[in-house]
Amino acid sequence: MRRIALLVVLAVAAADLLPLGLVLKQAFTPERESFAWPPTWLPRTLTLENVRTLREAVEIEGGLGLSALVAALTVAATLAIALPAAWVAARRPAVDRGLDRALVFARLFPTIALAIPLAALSIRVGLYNSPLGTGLWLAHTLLALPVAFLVLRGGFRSVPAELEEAARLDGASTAGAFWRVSLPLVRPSLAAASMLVFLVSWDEFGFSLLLQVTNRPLPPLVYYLTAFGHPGLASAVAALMLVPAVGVLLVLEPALRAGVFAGSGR
Amino acid sequence: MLCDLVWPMRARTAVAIAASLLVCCRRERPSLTAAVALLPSELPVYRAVVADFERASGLRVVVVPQQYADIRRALAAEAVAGSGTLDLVELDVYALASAAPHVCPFEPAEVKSELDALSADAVRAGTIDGLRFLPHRLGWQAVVYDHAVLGRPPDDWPELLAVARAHPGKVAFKGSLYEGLTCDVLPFVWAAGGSGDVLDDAGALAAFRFFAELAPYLHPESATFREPTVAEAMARGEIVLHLNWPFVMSLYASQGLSPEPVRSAPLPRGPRGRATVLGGGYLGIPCNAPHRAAALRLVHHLLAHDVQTELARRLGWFSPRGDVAVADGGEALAGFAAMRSEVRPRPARPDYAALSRRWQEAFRAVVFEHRDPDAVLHAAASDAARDR
Amino acid sequence: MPRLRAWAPAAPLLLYLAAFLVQPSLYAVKLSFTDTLTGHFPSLANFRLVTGDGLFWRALAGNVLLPAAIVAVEVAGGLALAVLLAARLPGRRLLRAIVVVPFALPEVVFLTVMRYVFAPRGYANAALAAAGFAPVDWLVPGRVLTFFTVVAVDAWHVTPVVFLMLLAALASIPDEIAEAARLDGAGALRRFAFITLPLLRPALLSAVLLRGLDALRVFATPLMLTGAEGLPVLSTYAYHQWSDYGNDGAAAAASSLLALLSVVLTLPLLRRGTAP
Repeated sequence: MRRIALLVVLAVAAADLLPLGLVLKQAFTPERESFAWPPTWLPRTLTLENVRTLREAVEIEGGLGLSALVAALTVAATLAIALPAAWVAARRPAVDRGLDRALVFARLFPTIALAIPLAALSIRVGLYNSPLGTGLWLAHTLLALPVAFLVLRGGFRSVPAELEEAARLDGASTAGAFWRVSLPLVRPSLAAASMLVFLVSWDEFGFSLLLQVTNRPLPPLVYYLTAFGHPGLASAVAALMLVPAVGVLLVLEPALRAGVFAGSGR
Repeated sequence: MLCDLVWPMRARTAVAIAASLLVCCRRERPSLTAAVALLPSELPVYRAVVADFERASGLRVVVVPQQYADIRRALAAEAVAGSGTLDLVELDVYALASAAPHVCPFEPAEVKSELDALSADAVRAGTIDGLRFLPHRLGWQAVVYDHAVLGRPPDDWPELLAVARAHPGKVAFKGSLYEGLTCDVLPFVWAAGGSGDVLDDAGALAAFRFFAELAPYLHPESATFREPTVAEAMARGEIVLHLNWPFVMSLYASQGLSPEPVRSAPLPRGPRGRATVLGGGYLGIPCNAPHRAAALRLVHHLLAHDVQTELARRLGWFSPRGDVAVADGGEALAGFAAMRSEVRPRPARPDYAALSRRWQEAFRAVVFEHRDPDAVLHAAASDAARDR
Repeated sequence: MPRLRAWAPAAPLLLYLAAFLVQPSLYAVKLSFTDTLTGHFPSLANFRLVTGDGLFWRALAGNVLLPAAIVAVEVAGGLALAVLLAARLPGRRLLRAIVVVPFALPEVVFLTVMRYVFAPRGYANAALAAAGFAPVDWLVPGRVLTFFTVVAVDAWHVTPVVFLMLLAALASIPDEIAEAARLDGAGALRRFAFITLPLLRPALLSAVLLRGLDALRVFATPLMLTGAEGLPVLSTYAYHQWSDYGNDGAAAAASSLLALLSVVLTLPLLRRGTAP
């Protein structure tokens, strides 16, 4: 049984690595090879020409910095907003129902319907095309909130309320109980939520395209290169984008594994 | 106590917001922002041309290369907001009508020297309720074919049909339901003597009967092809012939696919000759442009004789100025250059959008639903007459 | 406890949504009732235009079938992966990171690569040819196979999200319970069915609801793989109206109808809520 499970997982892993492998191959082979027939699974000629032309083609350093900043700020903002809300939702069913509905509302309209009004709002408030991507991380928070809320609430639900009660009886304030008892116990959920929010922001390009005209993060740059038929250059930027993304995954993954405190009273 | 809970979180966010606002509200060096649809390979040359303007005027210009659709989106968002960043936009001729409300007209006096030098047809296409757009570069379609496979491009309709039969599934049209389809349809209608205004005149009927004959041999994904996807299919060798605009030749060149094996050729001759559709990129100054006067100076620069000659020479662009010779684009652009005298603008009528949509639907009905061409066109014509 | 004070920690969330969600949504709804040609408000012109378009009805059908299939595949897949990788398998740390990779790739890049994989002269057909099979038309408009190809590609991309959500939920299940069951002699399958699954039910329902709402708004996948007419859904239809015809009102109308459809389809889950 374990062997079957392992085989299945390995097959899935192979399938999941396939797009990654193709991206890396296209990044480091000449453009022409990407259109060859029959297509080559392994690179025939390795080259760095895509990486070299990249700096002329698009504003790569600026894009990298901006993407990183926006993703970090999105994680901070989303967690800041979602943590207290998720905590209270896990503790009070009435609030939970209300917030649930509110967040469902956030998922009803397609991004394209919201993109133009949001852009207009950003412009009016002076957050449009900011070199720090200020309007953008606020928009990304909208996309990330429902997932973060859900994951964090799930985490808080599995922390028994009695633990906080016990801490309060010992003289801690509600906030203290939250900080020192509950929060450390939801580390797996915090890790999962941070990961998901980071990726959502790092890869998002609908709002990025519309809210940042001259200071562009990486995804619109990839899109521009892809749309104009340069799979090699686009893949080079994508390969670059993968480094922090995979880095975040590897850093946060152990936290997922951490078994939660074997709770009593669940 | 709940304040204790919430404050530390809010503090972080508040500080972040404050810092960002401080930085973004700092006064920045004034600079122009121009959004132009440039290929990555064209960008360095264009930036060099713009650098000349920067040196001469002392202004800074940020050139943002984007797709036309994205430029239009940004323009629309800025219009809704009532202010924005873009000083100059380039849009393709498809989008001019819908973008017109966001772009403010030029005063004829401001652009007199350009108007004298530019082709009248091209200028007329940019005149929507006032002179809102000036042609930046012209384009028209030609046949793009695989020289290695076909040897010689088809010269007339019977030869095109023979090519389609000899290479089934390897000839494609841009059959998606959009303006690009009309640009594939009208050249055939005109080449058969049709006017393009009337859905079921003799020329239209002849052209659509020809489409019906070609239908069984077309690439199965023609129904969803647009310029980028059909170009990509050709790059992969899935098709050997299609119609497209000059930009694809630059694209193929940068992919190492042109002039060997991909080349251009004039459209095949129909019963009444050859024809192709006028298109291209047009410059407009948004109503919300922060630096209108400076943008106007940039427009003068971009449409000046020596700059247009430079762009034609180094990028192979077709200039809207009558006094700029068509550059020798070599084998790659030969087909396009050969069609210059057969370029026709699309019908200039207020209900053009509706007419265009009927052409698109008729083509799709005949080619993808295999309906009778005469019946489809007559039905479309009577629908059009009824709606008028 | 006074009810309002109970809501206080949720205040930042509610304020944020009011500013960044409610206002743009109301604008979108208003736009759908504004006639694009005349600027008249209120007007049903956009809805009349849209419901008279055959492509719209195909998009509506597509918008019910495609999300259903995608959610089924991604929840089943995510659950299977979470269970398999929560257990003590060798190399599971690395495997967990690998499983998330498709989601870590930017969507644009992922979809472009998938286009190259499923093109008539793409990697998939090359593999088939090498194995001696005839090439398959994966993405031809109007065929059933196209539907399944699009489902597979989208599920491929988003299954990691469900995986991460369920993995976190699984990690929260106290070890004692699993241990107790094992000591009682229950086999792996029984343990899964009678202990793990019921404990995961809230997380699963959340996943289905959240992913369902996201799948209903599926946009980039069908657009990039098949174009706006190949496998139409309401969001690509709205985009097509906006981008190809400059008709903001019709695009907003289609978006509003999508929102309505989403509410209708998820109503049973919404009413039950995701609270246990």
